[in-house]
Order: sequence, then C-alpha cells, then structure tokens
Amino acid sequence: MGSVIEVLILGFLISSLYALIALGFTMIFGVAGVLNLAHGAFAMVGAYLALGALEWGWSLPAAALFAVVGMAFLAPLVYVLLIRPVEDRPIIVFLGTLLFAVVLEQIVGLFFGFNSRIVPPLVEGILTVGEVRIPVNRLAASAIALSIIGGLWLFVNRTRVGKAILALSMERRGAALVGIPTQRIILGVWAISGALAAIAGLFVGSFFGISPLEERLLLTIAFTIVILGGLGSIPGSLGAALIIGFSETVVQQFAPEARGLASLLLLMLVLTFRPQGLLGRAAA
Amino acid sequence: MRVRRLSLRPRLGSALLLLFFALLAAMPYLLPRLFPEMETNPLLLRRWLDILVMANLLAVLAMSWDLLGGYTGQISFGHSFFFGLGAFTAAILSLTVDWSPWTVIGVGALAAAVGGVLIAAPALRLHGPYLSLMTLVAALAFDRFIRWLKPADRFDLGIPGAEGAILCSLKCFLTFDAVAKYYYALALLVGSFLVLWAIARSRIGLALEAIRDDEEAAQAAGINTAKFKTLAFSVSGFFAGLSGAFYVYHIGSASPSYVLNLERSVEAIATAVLGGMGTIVGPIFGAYFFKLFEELFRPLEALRYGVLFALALAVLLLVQGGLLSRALQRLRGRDLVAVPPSAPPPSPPPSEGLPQGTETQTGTEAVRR
Amino acid sequence: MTASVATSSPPVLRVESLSVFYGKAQALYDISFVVRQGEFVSVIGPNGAGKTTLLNALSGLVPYRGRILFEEKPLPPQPHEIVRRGVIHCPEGRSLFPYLSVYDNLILGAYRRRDEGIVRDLEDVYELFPRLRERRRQLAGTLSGGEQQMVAIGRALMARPKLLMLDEPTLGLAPIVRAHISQALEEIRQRYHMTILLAEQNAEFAFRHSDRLYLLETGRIVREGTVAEMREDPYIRQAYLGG
Ligand SMILES: Nc1ncnc2c1ncn2[C@@H]1O[C@H](COP(=O)(O)OP(=O)(O)O)[C@@H](O)[C@H]1O
Ligand SMILES: [Mg+2]
Repeated sequence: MGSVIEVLILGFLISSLYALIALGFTMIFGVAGVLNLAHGAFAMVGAYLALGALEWGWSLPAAALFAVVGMAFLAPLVYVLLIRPVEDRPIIVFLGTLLFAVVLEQIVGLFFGFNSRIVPPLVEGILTVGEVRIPVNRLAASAIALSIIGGLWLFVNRTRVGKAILALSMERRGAALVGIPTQRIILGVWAISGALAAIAGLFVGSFFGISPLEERLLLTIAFTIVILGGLGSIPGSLGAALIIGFSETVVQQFAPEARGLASLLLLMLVLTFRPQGLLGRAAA
Repeated sequence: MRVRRLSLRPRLGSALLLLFFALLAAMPYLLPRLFPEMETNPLLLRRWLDILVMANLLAVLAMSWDLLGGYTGQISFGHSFFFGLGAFTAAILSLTVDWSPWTVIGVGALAAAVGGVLIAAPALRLHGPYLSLMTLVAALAFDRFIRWLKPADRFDLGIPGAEGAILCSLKCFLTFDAVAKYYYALALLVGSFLVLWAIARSRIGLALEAIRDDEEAAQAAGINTAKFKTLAFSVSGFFAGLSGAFYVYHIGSASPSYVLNLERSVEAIATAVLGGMGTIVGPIFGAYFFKLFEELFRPLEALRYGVLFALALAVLLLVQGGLLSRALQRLRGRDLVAVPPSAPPPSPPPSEGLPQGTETQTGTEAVRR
Repeated sequence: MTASVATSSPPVLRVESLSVFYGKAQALYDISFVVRQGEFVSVIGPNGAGKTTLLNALSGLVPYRGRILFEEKPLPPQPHEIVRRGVIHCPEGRSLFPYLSVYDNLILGAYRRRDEGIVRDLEDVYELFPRLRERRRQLAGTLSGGEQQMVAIGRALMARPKLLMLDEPTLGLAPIVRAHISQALEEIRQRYHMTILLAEQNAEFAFRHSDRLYLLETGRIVREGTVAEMREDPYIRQAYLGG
C-alpha cells in the first residue's frame, strides 16, 4: 500500500517538473511562433552551467542562480543571432534549432564529458510518513516548480505586460498596433523560457542526473506534453504533464520493461486521432 | 520554402557527377597508388574501403531523407526508424530463412517501405511539427519495442550488454572480399541515386515540390496530395531501409544502440543540409564530406561531431542550397538563380528590407526553366 | 455634412513621395498628400489599389521610402513608437485578440497610456457602443462581425488618437450595422474633433463623411479634392458613384 501511495506522490512530483519543461517550450511557440527544438538543450546547458559554477567553488544557491540568469540571457541571444534572421522560414527554423541542440550537446560534452552527472540536491533528507518515504529534495523541487508555474499564470493573466504577452500570442499585428513593443516582449519571453528551462534542468539533474545527450529525452517529453495538451496552450500543457508524469512513474514501477513505450504509443494515438491535442484548443 | 534547387541538367553538373562516380569506381586501384602504405598493409586499404562503404550507406540514407524532407517538405526526425526497420528485418531473416543476401536486403528495404506507408497513414492528417513528432515517436517506440522484445534472445545470438542486439555475422555477410563489397556498396549508391533522381525529375517530383511549397494550393490544383505523400514516405522508407539492411550485411550485426539511435536521423539531416536540401545529389557529397571529416579528424574525438553539426547549422542558415550548389555556382561563374522572366521592370528594392511574411521570388521556379 | 472648417488649418500629417515595395513589386508610387488638423480625409480606390498598404506604411507595419511627417516631425520606424505619437491604426480585418474578452481588448488599446483618463475613456466607448458594455466579458473572437468592428474602433479610441486611421470599417457588414458604424463615426468627430484618415472602397460611405478625398488607383494618387469638387468630377461620378 505504501508503495502505491509513494508512486502516486512521485508521479505528481515528477509531473510538476515536466510541466516546467513544457511550459517554456509552449510559451515560445505561442508567442514567437517558434518550435524551439533546442529547448531540451537549454535545460541541459542550464544544469551544466550550475555544475560548472560548483566546480569553480561556488555555493549551490549561487550556482543555481548563475544557471538561471545565464540561460535567461543566452536564450534571447540565440533567438536574435540564429532564429530571427530566418524566422519566416519555418522549416529552416525547425532544422536550425535541432542542429543547434546537437551542437550544444557536443560543446557541453567537450567540457564535461558525456557521462551522467548529478546536480547536488538543494535539500537533503527523506520525509517518512508511515510507510511512505519521499526525498525532501523532490518535495522542495516540486513546490518550487508549482510556485513558479502559479506565479507565471498570475503574471500572464493578471498584469499589464502579461496581457500583452497573451495578446501578442493571439495576434501579432494587433499587438503592434495597440503599441505593444513586440520585439521587446518576444525577447522577454525567450528569457523567461530560458530561465524555466534552466530551473527544470537543475531539478532533473538532481532527481535523475543529467548528461549532454539526455537533452533529447527532455525535448521529447516537452514536445509530447505540448502536443498532448495542444500547442501553445498553457493549461493543456499542465494537464498533459500530469498524464505523462503519472503514466511514466506507474509504468516504471510496475512494468519497467515497457518504460516509455506506453506513453509513446499513447502519443501516436493522440497524434493520429486528435492532433489538436487531448485538452487544448486547436492551435491557431 | 526557399530551398534552392540544384539543376544538374547543365552539362557541367552531370559531367562532374560522372567524374565523381568514375573516381569512386577507381578507388580500390587509386588508393594503394596514392598511399603506398596501403600497398604494404592491406588492412589499411580495407579500412578505408569500409569507410567509403559507410559513406555510401549514409549517402543513401540522406538521399532518402532528402526526398521526403527536401523535396516534399515533410521533415522526418525518425529516419532511424526506417533504417532500423530495414536492419532488423534483414538481421532476423538472415537467421531464419535461407535466402540469398540480395533477397534479404531487398525484403528489408520493402519492410521499411511498408513502415513508410504505415507512418504516412496518420501523417496524411498531420502537418509541420506534428508530422515530425510522429516520425520521431515512431523511431523511439520502435527502439523501445525492440529492446523490450529482445529478438536476439530467440536465436541465442544476443550480444551481452547490448539490449535487443542481434549478432548474425556468420549468416549475414555479403562477402569477405573488401573490394567486392566496396563495389556492391557503390552500385547501391549509384542505383539508389538514379532511381531517386529519376523520381525527383519526373512529374512525381513536381507534385512533391508543389506539396512542399504549398500543400493546399497543390490540392486545389488537382494533385492527389495523399497519394503523393504516401508515395514519398514509402520510397523514402524503402531507400532508408535498403541502407539499413545493407549495413547489417556490412557489419554483421544489428544493434538498437546503433541502427535505431536518433543519431542516425540527426546524421541524415545534417548530411542532407550540408550537401544541399532538395537536390538529391547534394546528400552524396554531404555524406562523403561527413565521413571523411569524421575519419580525418579522428584525433578530435567527439569534437568533430560538434564541428560537423555546427558546419551544417552554418550552411543551413547562411548558404542557401548547401555547399555543393555554392561551389558549382562559383565554377560556373554565374548565379544559379536567374531573374524570373516575368519580373517587373527592375526597380531598386527598399533598403529597409522586406516586410515580414512576404516571400520573395526564389530560385525554385527560376532554375527549373 | 461637416463644413470644411478644417481645410485651412495646418497639416498634422504630411506624406512626401512615399513608395512601398513588396519584394520587387511596387505597391505605392511616390504618394504625397496632407491631412490637416481636425480634417476627415478619405483615400478611396478599388480593391488592390494600395489603400491598406498606405495605412500599413503609416503605422510602421511595412517598410517604405519617402518621408512621413506627423506634427512636423518624422514618424519613428516601429509601430509601438508610432502609437506613442498618437497615430492609431484600426486595421483591415480588425486584428482583435480573439481569446481575450471585449474588456481586455479595449483596455489593451490604452497600452501606451499611463494617465488617469483610461476609465473615463472606457465609459465613453461603452456609451458610443452600448452593445460592447453588454458583451464586455465575452471573448472577442465569438462576437458578430459588426460587434467586432465596434471593438476594433473602440480599441483604437482607447489610445486617444490624435490621428485615427480606419481601414474599410464597414467591409462585409450588413447595411443596418453599417449605418450604426456610420453614426458612431459622426459622433466621434463631433465629440473629439479628431483628425481621421479613412481608407475605403465604398465611395458612397467615404463621401458621406469626408471633407476631402484622394483617389488611389494602382498605387498612384490620380485625383484629389474636396467632397464637392470630387463629386463633380465626371470620371469619379462614372466609375465610383454609379453615374
Ligand atoms: N503582403 C503582401 N505581399 C505582396 N504583395 C502585397 C502584399 N499586400 C498587398 N500586396 C499587393 O499590393 C497591392 C495593394 O494591396 P492593398 O494595399 O491591400 O490594396 P487595397 O487595400 O487598396 O485593396 C496589391 O496588388 C496587392 O496584391
Ligand atoms: Mg485593403
């Protein structure tokens, strides 16, 4: 009985991480219209920025901050240098972000090697309630992830700039014509997306460890979630993250040999029969 | 889409290509003359011939990707699915039936073609990123499926530590004669190229390009887009599977960690991009560039992939049409892209640049004429 | 009809040899014209003449060559900077934010403003279009065409335009709705003494509201004049006013 509850709790905690990964990915698609296949690599690079800072002797909080700020700075830079010049050619953007991601893998691999590394946990210890044992670090990570998601939701729906972001995602021309500085907002969203990716990368790195090539897994998870949830839909992504997080954890626990297969097959079915996503509205 | 089409009809291109194939045909004799150490060390010659075989296999895989991605605009992230399908079919057949290697390789390719049709079925309803994700998911799912099924265990030929790998080296070996194998692989390359090239230059190719440039318009113009997309998927699958099946008969094993690795898809894409998307011929040169670079800069270890992918990225963003088209352009001394005959009297374009979302006239139509 | 009180006041908008290219194709050829303080000026012309292109150039949506002076100073290049100067464009096709409420759409119209008058102006818009008050919580994308046009005009008004540019505000609307919009335009003029530049294919509608008009054909201004002058022009009578 304890293990079932444990699995459910772990599933929930992991879902909140997945939601964090998917959120940045879907925001960029919704606002900038770019499907950023380097998003998983951003998360991975974020984790390694922290690992690098730790090797330099920084404290963990400082290293984490460095990673988040670093990615918030790098992501808009990538947009300006790489993506914006070819923005009106979706296939080029698509392939370009993919190739950029594998270049990032190689660069990180060059400095840190290709083996998996563990980001030290933010909080040590294990919480035991009856038979249920949960690492405190995971609870903390999940709590942080959920607060970030909640804060972002409030920001987008309740503030003037947030409304501008929403408006921009729906109608770029209309946004420009009411005086929203569209380029500045888009850069800001890239920064947010980069920061979210870095945070997710840090948590993933401290949950499971991270290696350069593992960014593909993160990208696939993000991609899967936003497709399930409907491209560009934030609530859809949250729901889909829960589905994926739970199904992965449950399968992992009770049928480890089919790990990944179940959610991939589910995704194929959804793609085939409901490409607009299970939960979201049709992508514009 | 602004993929520039490389026309080889002008004689220079065809002549260069013929020359290139002739050069490849002469390799087993040229190499020992050029590098005397190969004369004394046959293993070294063998190694280099094997590298060229791998270049040919990569070329076929990348050409198959190009027909789908470059020509039809259906960006596949899952060519490792087709490659692996061909490879595993061949590996299993080689152990279970007593067919000739060529039959097995052919059936492997056919299996991948069927895989292409299977993917095309849902893909017909999907566009852009959805389609790409579908191909990616198919590749990942097939990988998991093989690892879960562990087909090798049924033949007692599993490679320890390599989940789901099949070792068939005793039964799946084309020949032990490295030179003969080299010529088989060269024949595979030239044959695949001719078929794909013929398809691309035919009315089918026109329909595929029409789908790439504007699927709705193509449909409105009476092109049966479903039919042509399915065709593109199955032909592309066939040649990717052919490459995979031949690979098994080259290496003697099929392991998910190689044949189903996403690396195969990424390499195919990078190769096609390097050589020039939407040209069919470009990927051949992309593949040779890739494999030779990989080999010559071996001391750089993993860094050389970083350099290769970064190069591909630079080509994608900066050099439209790939390196080859640029080089030919230089050689020919004029622009591949002519001003379309129907263009209005030349008026200086605005210095501020083009408004967003507008497509300027590109070489696509111009070169075709 | 409003008398041409404004025709002698100083120009607020001065456009000098404006050209626009879409790639190699030229859409506007050396357009020059002025709009004076408080004037209602229309640019009429058939479909494809370049009216939308003209307004898009003025609001910074497409690059151009030539000079655009607003209140004697050149307009900045970026749309949001142009909005700050008080040049507000209510575009063809409306460009509303479909998944935001009517209220949010209107409030976003005042995005550049930080003054206290926003609430007051919102009341004014609701007064002008009472329908919008009823529908203020509804998503803009679910409104009827006429209601959407009201939101579009209301959103433009929320920016407190010095120059309001309207692109075919009655395109595709039923006659009764068109009459409603027409009435609202009159009211806007009366109440705010606003300078208005209208791009319109429907010559009747343009003549009803304007002080002066320009006729645009295939990217060139081919006629200009006051309403009275233009009405007398045989070519315009024949081609645009139905004989
Ligand atoms: N984005 C664009 N790209 C290329 N050509 C365009 C574009 N927008 C308009 N045009 C062309 O510019 C000309 C003027 O169009 P437009 O300004 O929309 O005219 P109007 O608003 O008077 O109907 C037309 O020939 C049209 O085809
Ligand atoms: Mg128009």
